Amino acid sequence: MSPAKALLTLTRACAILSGIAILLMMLAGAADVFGTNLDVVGLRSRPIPATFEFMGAMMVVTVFLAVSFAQHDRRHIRVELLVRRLPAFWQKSADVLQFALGAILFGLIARYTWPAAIHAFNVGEYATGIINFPLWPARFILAFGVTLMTVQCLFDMLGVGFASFRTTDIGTAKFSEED
Amino acid sequence: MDPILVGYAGAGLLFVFLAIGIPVGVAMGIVGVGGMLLGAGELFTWGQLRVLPFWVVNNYAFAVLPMFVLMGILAEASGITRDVFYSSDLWLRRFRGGLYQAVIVGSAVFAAVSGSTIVNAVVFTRIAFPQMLKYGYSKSLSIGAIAGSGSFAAMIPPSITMVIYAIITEQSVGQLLIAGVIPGLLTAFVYLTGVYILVRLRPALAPPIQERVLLSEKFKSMLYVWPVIILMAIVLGGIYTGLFPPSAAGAAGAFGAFCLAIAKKKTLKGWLPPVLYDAASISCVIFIILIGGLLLSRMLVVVGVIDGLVELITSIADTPLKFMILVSILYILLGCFLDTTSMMVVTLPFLFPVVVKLGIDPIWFGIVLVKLIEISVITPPVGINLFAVLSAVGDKAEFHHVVKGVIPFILFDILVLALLIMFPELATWLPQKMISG
Repeated sequence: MSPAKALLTLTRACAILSGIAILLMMLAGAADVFGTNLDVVGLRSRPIPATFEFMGAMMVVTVFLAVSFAQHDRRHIRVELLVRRLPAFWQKSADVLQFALGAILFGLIARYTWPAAIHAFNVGEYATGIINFPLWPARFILAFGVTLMTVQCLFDMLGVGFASFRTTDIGTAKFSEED
Repeated sequence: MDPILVGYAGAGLLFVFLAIGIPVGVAMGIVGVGGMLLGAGELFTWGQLRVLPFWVVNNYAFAVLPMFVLMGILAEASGITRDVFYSSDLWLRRFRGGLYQAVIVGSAVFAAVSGSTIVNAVVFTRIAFPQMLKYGYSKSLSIGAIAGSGSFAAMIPPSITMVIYAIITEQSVGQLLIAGVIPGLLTAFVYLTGVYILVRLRPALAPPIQERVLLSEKFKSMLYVWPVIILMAIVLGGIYTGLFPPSAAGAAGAFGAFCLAIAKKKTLKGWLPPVLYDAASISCVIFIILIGGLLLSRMLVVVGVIDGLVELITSIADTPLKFMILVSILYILLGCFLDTTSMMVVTLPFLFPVVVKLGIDPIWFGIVLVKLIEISVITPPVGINLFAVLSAVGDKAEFHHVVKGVIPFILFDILVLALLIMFPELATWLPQKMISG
């Protein structure tokens, strides 16, 4: 398997997990609403413990595991009005710059969020509540997600000049009705 | 390096980056990080990178955003938009120009479950435009009605734009969402009345009234509209009465839309994965912009450029009215090339401190800003929703049809904007009545 294909497989798997996370967020949030408001129909309220923390953690999974596939799909919003009118050379240069800046930003975030995740794991960081909800898994997911995004941006940057780095050239990129 | 100089250079560089196509979130993030490094030192900058992304995303209060995004995409995927439009059409067929009215009412109802103006406009172009052409409606006014009504989604809750404003300015999400109800309904009412008058003045804009529809048929068409209305009542009612916070309301609303989609599709197979991926990736894109925007905003605060900027802006516009005129011009210009989220996140770090300095009500300012955004996305020559509609109509219309058709709706919007400025209570009364802010 080529590096580009391997990267696409990984980002795609992460995107699937991200989709599952948003579904779980919805189910947990809705279950908590129903449980909390059971008193409206004369029953005893039964809020689901740690729903807020769980939804927060799922939001981290949703956002940071989707970020690299969204980059592969070119979903991140940019103004193309001027760039589209530039000659091909300048368009390519602008592309190299946007991918390089993306790699720098997400690389820096990765550089400082990995130590934060390891520290959180070592001290057993958690959010206090009826259930002490561990925070370190979400911190690791964030660090992993931004690292993958950094790699995706680097591949995109190299892909401007070298076709073998282009994940966009590989088929079955998008989710379809058949998935 | 002089921190103030860093701040101004950063602001300039940001607009250069945006112009050359750097993704909005990355452009703001890089300028924010670079500015912090030069103006506030390494310790502060690395601390922000360690803390801010996790704080923004692992935050229950902001879960309302992905939940509203999911709710809108589920509602669209379920096909209820078509039902809403069909039902509106049957009920409004007794008026000449009934399909224009059906687009406006249908868009307003769909806006109550969807928060994206582009999605609203594109969906109604696909559903309503072919039918309008078939019955001999004016091509221009049809496109204008669709593009104009599409922008309702920014004002009528659940509005993603409003939630983003609340996050950036640290205002109550619930109050802002509720504040959009009256201005949203007022806009729909002005559109309906305006189109009615237009068709009365120029009957050629619409074909003569078609066949009458039986009352039983009208009620039958409501079968799938009632769940939308109930969904809307649960979400807004819950927020208004304080029964549950906006994030919980969003989750309940998304779950309702999910059940509705299952009821219509009869299966989970096929349609669900793309819906979930769409919702996740749109949420991701918005959060990356938010993280970039917050890094930029922290940089501007920490280098101390905000005070200078406030002074600069207030020296040009020293009264709330002058300031609002300045903001209006800025937003109409930005609407030429930026989407609603980016427009807000890029400008608010600069504008909101002035709002505070001038003593402007932040809830009212949010509503006026959203109204300006609604106008800017449909203002020719390059309002972003116009292109969305144009690409959805394919070769059935030219750009001049879009420009001609959208002008009456821009005038209706300006009328609503004037009303909002003259009577701020239209935006502030309902949130003040909320049981829980």
